[in-house]
Amino acid sequence: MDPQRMAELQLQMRVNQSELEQYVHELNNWEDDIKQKEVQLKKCDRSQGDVAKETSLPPIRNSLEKKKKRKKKKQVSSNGDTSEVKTNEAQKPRRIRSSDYKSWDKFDVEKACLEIDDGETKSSSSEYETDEEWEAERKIKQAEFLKDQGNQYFKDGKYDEAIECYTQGIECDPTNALLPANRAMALLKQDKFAAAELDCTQAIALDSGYTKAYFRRATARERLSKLMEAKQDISTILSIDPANKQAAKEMAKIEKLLNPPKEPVGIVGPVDKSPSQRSKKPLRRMQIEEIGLDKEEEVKRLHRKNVETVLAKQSEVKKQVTARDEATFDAFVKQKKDTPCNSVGSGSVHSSVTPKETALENIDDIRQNGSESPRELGQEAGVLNLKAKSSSEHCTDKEPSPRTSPRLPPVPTSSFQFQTDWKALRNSPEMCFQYFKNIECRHYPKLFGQALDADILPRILSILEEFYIPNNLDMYAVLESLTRVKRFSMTLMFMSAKEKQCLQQIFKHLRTAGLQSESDIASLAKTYQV
Amino acid sequence: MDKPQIILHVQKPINYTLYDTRWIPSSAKFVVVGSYARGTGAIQIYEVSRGEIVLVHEVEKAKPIKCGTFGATANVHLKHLATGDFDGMMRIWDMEATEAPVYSVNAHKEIINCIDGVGGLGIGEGAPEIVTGSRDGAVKVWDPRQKVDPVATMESGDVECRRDCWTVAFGHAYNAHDRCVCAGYDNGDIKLFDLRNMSLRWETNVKNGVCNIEFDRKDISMNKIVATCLESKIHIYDMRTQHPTKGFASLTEKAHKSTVWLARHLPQNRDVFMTLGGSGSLNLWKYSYPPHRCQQDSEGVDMGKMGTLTLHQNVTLSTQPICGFDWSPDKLGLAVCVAFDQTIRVLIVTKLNML
Repeated sequence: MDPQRMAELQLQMRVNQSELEQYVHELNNWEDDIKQKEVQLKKCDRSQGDVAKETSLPPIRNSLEKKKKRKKKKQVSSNGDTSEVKTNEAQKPRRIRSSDYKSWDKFDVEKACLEIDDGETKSSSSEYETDEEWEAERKIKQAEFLKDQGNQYFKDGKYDEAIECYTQGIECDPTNALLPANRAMALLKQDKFAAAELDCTQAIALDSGYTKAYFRRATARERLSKLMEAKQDISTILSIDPANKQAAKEMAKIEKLLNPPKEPVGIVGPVDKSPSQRSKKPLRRMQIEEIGLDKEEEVKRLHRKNVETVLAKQSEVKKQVTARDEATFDAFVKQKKDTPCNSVGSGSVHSSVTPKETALENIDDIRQNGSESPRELGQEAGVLNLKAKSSSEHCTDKEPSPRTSPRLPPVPTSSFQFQTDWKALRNSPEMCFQYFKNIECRHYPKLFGQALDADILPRILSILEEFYIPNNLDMYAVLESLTRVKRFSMTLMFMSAKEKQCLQQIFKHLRTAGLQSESDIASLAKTYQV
Repeated sequence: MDKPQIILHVQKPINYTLYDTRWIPSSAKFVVVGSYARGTGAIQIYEVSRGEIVLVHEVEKAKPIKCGTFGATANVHLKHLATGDFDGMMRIWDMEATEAPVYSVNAHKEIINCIDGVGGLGIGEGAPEIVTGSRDGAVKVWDPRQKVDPVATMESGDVECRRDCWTVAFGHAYNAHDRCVCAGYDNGDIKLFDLRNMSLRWETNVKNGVCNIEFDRKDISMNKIVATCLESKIHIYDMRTQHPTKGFASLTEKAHKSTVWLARHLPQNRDVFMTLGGSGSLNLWKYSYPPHRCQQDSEGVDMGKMGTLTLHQNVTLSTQPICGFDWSPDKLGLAVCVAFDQTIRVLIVTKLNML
């Protein structure tokens, strides 16, 4: 053998030997130490430590339930096939043989059921480090459940129960913004506006981008006459979601409340008189003075350049339209004469006046209705006015502009079509009535779809009040169908006092008409919250 | 030069069959259990003293005792050995007063092959518990505070396919709630039961009967297990990352050229363990972790990655299988083993601190 290797080996053996000796020496010392320690431990009161330990121990596993075989698994066959795993709950019943009476005696049905119930939660709980986490998760789930329950109560109109559910939910999960927001909704329903405002504030604190909460707070604040704050909320919504129509509408409403529009001077409001009270005198031609044309002057300046081209185009189009409309127009006018008409302002009534005057009438018409957006209407008025003034030679063979055309749109087949027509007919309730009357009740949900907003419903109601009541038409079907439209109850919530009054009027009529049973009307009235 | 040495310190022939041995915590004593030739059980306590072992106490019991553990001893003042015997009885003995058990339960219908304890001696959070595995196929968890009934039972519903449970091990007891039991069966099944969820968390089959399973540590979030099998197989599983379909990553090593009866992790270093072969050989291993224990599969799901296993020492001390081995929890490098050649051996393993 290599002498160097030999020497290495000898060295290693010597090292190992010395290490072992050292270790044995250490071991002997350790023996002495540990024996001393043992004696000391023995001296200590054994039971003392015992008690101290016992008190801090966790409870006996599974001791809350009756001791039983908790879980069994199916053994895998000896060929190593692991695809068959343990039995699951479904196989439980056949684990205990029928002859195994002792086992059956011990078999606890309730516990078995509990185990099945617990199956899902148990399997998912493994990721939680502690019971606290598990508990937290459970509470969040509980809160979700309570929220759903509360929503159900809310739908059923049981607001007290709903509020109770939401309150419990908030206790379980104080971080969920939905719960206080929903409670606010329920509180709004109960006219508890201050509490609703508080809840909304809480919801917003939890989720600053929650537009619904802002909207509800705005509603609450509006009802509490805190208009500035309400306006702020609405502007927050608009900053988050500029396309929010409801908010835009609410904004306009609040603006109106904040700055009540001054009575425009020199404009006579529409006169509401029943046919019997009306003057029997023939219609008299009025000389119309134009006042406050500063806006028109401005517009005139702006449009001076475009006017000629616009008019040229219009006349082109209108010539085509005119011929086609003539027939329907005449028919419509005849029909109109048959039906009592409350709307004095409608341009179509004055079919006998010259086109120039019609145009001027239209201006007034627009002014009367146009407090919502004076600028836009002012512009239109300006254009029309210009047309009337500067191009009277065109006017002689011209019908009124298509916007005010008495042509009745066909019965809509789509929601979009309905909305377009509805907008176009905005300024003529009479037309609206005709148009609306032709729509079959069963088509409402389809036509209104998502769009039964704060604009449509009040208008429908006013049509009902203005036209259906005097004509003794059946409103019940209409009202009943309306309740089936989506978001109906939501829209109902945001109705103004005036509109509610209108509703009451309608139901009063329904009751006096007596076409339906009192109970039907009562239940419908309940749906309408009258 | 720095290779650890396994040195036979003391050996003592005994006149009965030895099955298991355990160090008594906070002492230089160990206990051995076994079976006398006349079919009775033996419990003996020895003390290591100046290069020899001295019999301190012995007691004879009605039935041969197969296995024992101090794992569920409530505190260091008490020296409670939990044993499983050939009759399926699980008993807890006070080493100071061995006449009558402090706890006794008819745990299984047949022999208790294996026993493990946790929650005692400050090892593992939560209540002290004992798990037993038996030839009757059941794995049962016991709480010494509760008489008669186990706190959890894991067994096959189908009587026909109940397998012999050869080994059980506690682990994952890193807080008061989490705890796992890993069981190995004669058909090569390894099953990991989650006691907190009362569910089967994972299972696999290693084709050869599983003689022994041990977690490297009982009182940490499960890190790895070593499973030793018939036909000289050692399997190591990295238990940190469980892949939803592939389970735990594993590594297989062949050693001993015979059944690997036992694997025992060094209490002072969880990555060092000794395996005991059917040929009476002892192998000292060290597991080295890869640079990253977790990698992502093609779908971005985490899966474990295995490191390497190195054999550091290999000696043969007996002609018969070594069936019991225990590292001293108090003295690094001190160990005791018992073999079927009816001999108790106290071993010294040097330079363990240099691994």
